[in-house]
Amino acid sequence: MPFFKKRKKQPLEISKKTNVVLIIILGIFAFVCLYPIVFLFMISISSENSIVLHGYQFIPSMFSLSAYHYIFKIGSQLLQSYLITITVTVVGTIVSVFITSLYAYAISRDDFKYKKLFVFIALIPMLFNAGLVPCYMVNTQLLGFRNSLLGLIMPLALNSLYIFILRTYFRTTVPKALIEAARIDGAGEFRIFYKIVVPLAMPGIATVALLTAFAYWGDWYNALLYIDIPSLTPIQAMLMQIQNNMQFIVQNASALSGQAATVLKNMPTDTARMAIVILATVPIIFAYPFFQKYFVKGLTIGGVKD
Amino acid sequence: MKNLIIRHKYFLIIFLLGFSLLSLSGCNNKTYPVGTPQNPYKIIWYQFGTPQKDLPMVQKKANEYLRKKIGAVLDIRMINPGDYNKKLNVIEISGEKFDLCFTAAWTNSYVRNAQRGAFYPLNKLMNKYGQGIKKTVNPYFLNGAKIDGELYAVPTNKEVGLQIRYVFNKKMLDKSGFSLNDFKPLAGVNTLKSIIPYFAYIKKHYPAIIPYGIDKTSSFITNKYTFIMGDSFIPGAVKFGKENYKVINQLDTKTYKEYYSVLHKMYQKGYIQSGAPQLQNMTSLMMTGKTAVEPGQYQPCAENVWANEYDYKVVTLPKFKPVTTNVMVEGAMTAISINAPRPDIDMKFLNLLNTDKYLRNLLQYGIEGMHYKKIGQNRIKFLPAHKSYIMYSFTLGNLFLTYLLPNDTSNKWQQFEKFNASSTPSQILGFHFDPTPVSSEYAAITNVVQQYQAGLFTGQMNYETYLPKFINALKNAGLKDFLAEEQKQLDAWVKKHKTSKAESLRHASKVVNRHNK
Repeated sequence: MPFFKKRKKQPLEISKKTNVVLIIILGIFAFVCLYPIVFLFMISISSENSIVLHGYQFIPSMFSLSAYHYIFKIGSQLLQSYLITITVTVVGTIVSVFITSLYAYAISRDDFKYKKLFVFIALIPMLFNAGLVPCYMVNTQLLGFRNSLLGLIMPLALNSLYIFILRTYFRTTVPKALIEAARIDGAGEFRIFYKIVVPLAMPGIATVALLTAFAYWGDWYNALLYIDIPSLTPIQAMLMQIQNNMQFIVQNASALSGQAATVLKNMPTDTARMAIVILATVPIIFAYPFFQKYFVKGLTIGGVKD
Repeated sequence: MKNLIIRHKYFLIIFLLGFSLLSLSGCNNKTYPVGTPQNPYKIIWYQFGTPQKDLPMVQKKANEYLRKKIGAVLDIRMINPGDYNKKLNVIEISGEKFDLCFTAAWTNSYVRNAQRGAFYPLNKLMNKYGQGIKKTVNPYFLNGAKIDGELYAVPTNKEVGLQIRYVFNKKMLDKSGFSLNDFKPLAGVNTLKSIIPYFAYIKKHYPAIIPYGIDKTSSFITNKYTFIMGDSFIPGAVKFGKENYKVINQLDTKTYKEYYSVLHKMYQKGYIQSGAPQLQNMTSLMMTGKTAVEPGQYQPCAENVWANEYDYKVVTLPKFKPVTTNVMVEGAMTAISINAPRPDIDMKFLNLLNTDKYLRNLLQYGIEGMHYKKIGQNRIKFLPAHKSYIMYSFTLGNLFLTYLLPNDTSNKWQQFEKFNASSTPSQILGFHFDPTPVSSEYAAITNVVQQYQAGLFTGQMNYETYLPKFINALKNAGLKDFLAEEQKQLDAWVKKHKTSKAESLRHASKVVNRHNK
């Protein structure tokens, strides 16, 4: 915490008063962000009875770890879903960064002949969206992604926005002269890309990788569309299914002719669902520090231009 | 832009060619197996329910049987209840090839899909391959579910009548000295009124118990009116009875006002829990055993089902005589997709599902000796493996063929038939209102209803002050045009179908009567 250290005042240093105000504002903001997660955790360790009696409480009147016990009981499905999510996130991020950076690098070079055309093509999906049904038709009938991990990876693999972020990044951080120099030294296009452009643009690529990893980790919609079998369901989709089923059964209890209660009985309780949310969110938090050094660097380097 | 295209024309040509090749390869028409035991036809069946672990095993067993019998095998794809509607919608719009799917008034809407041509029309097909269905399924289902004279899905044979009953905790009732005979059955609002002394008794002697438990979706269904939209909260109803086709706003009638006032009095006295307007889910409340009486939608032998679920014995008091409405008739059905390559084989399968006891029970309860054990001629007991194969009974065709469970009375299905025969069909059975011409009014009205519904129908709001506000808000939302459109469509329907409908129903009731003799 550099704010409280006593040292000589530097010309650009923020004054003490401003610091206090900033800390308060940022503190409130951080609290607002953290509060729901802490609340979630508190619900997950409160006992089911206290929820029925008093509703959700920040400090529950009765604590219990039964939710986590329940989760370990249904463990195998949870573990399987975890495995799928992690596989999809890791493989997907690698694939996605690979394709995106290649595409972005090509259109960042002025001497690429079809540059304008490919910029144009990448621009189209940013402005228009074909919608759900054509996507579904292409992905299931043409590409055969139903019930396959590809259905979870490929739809998110290329994002136009990231292409443009990376293109701009390549243009601003990799000097043309450097590429020319490498060319004169006898490097081919791929060697230039891997040996010179990628290391220089690492902060930008890491940022895109982080965003992509988050997108893969949090994705449940593709699973809803393309996955029917439990052994391929990622954890977010599993959560979503539990949630949707609960809601649906509650709303249509009469239509289910008395079978609703039987089903509800076998469903995770409120606390168990919160516990699953905790388990689904926590791991991705650990991905953040890993990328953070690039993230901060990326923002500073990208911002300064000489 | 033009410049761009001209400059890159060669590239574009290659690009487009490549794409068209790709898409061509996607639509090459496969030839489908003819459907012989050696070369069976695969029936893709989208089924409503959570995926079950032992399904592949059961499916394999069913396939052995079906392969010999009709030259087909099943490919059942279970879809979670919460996602079913959304997913099927995408599948149907995308024109994907599949054979069968579950449909109902409340999910994967039967009427909407039939009207937009997603389902295969069944009349001819059924005459040819579905004679068994015609014999076993109650004609009220088969005729009531017709849209403009054509059937688009095979209804599940189950209870056809809608009846609300008051469900009493038997232990409390016995202890109190009251008995069901003290209350007035089949009298609508008056039935509820007649229970009030009992509520007072419970309130006095069991302070921790909720005398009358309801939740925010609690509605007032009665056999006095039949609802145009099938939803008792949406304005538009006709008085139940022959030749009555005048559309009114039921929410503003004498019957409803009486109901609001009775509820409000009960709420004030504390007979209804104060959290009722916020309570999402009645079932969780009932499972705690903290209510003395609650309303429930009845089916024959439901007492056993409820007793099992809530872990206490119950007795029931009917609020009105059962009525047959669209919602009940379209409660659970199986449709053949318009894109099904071989609808004839699908129909043969559906015919078996509704007539073949072995197949029906195999799909319902799993494999004998593994998921269940026979303990009588027609009675079974679940084995521990039952947990990995639990199916919704109403998604799998004719309920009356299924084995009885240990607690069921032996004449369970006879009771169903009796109940169905006693149910009076609504005079607008088979009329389906299409809200598209008044869709903005419909949305506005739904919004207004949502604001007042929970308050009025749990007794929290005093109807004398809030009902005029409610009605006023409805009027501002376009109630007049909405009711007029309902009337218009109903009149057109009556004109077109009066004769044929009346005849078919008369015929149906004859068949039912013969059946019961």
